[in-house]
Amino acid sequence: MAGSQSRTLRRGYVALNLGSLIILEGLYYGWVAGGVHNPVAVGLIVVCMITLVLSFLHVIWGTGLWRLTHTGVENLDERQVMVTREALRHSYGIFVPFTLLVIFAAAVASDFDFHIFDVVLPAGLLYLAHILPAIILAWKEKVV
Amino acid sequence: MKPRKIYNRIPVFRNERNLSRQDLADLVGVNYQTIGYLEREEYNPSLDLAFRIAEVFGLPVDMVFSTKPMKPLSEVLRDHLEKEGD
Repeated sequence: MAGSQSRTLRRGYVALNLGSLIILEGLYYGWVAGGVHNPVAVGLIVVCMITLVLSFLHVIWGTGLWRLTHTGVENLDERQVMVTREALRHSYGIFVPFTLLVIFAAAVASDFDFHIFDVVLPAGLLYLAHILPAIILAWKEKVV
Repeated sequence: MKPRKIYNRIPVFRNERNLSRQDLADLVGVNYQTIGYLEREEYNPSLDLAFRIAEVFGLPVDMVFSTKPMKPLSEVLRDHLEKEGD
């Protein structure tokens, strides 16, 4: 792990990253998927995407957390293996019920002729699945 | 089972030997941040890592690690000298 950001700063970037993801999905399904293609909607979506990418680069890529949660066990020491394993365990615990809730919400929404299972929602879920362990480490660990 | 806290004298022996955290980490094969966690006593090392660290310092493992808070070395030496004097 290469970065040395304070935990408060990391938590700020985590909030920014997840917040921009949620707002991005909300804007897409609230406006674009509903047929509204005004420049404000598109502009806000672009701003959210830029915020998402920049906060990802700061808190996940720049601190080395991406490498830590995606590299093989042979490249980690015993403490890193332990904290990564814990983060992965917590990620499963969060991601599975959250995804079930989203699928349930999508099923209910489709009953009202509001179909949200196009490419954006699964892409958001896949992104979340990949970053969750790193986000948990960024949130919890004193030093990364 | 809740693990016990393991106390250590890593910062003392590391500074005595003018080793940086990175130097010690390289010698025992861990990340330098793991040395920081060990020194702050926020992480209990495996038996293998504890022995490797003790071997770097050339000391028995119980001189470096303990399950009880460790006295400063000056106090240990004074106690030893007092015992010898008795």
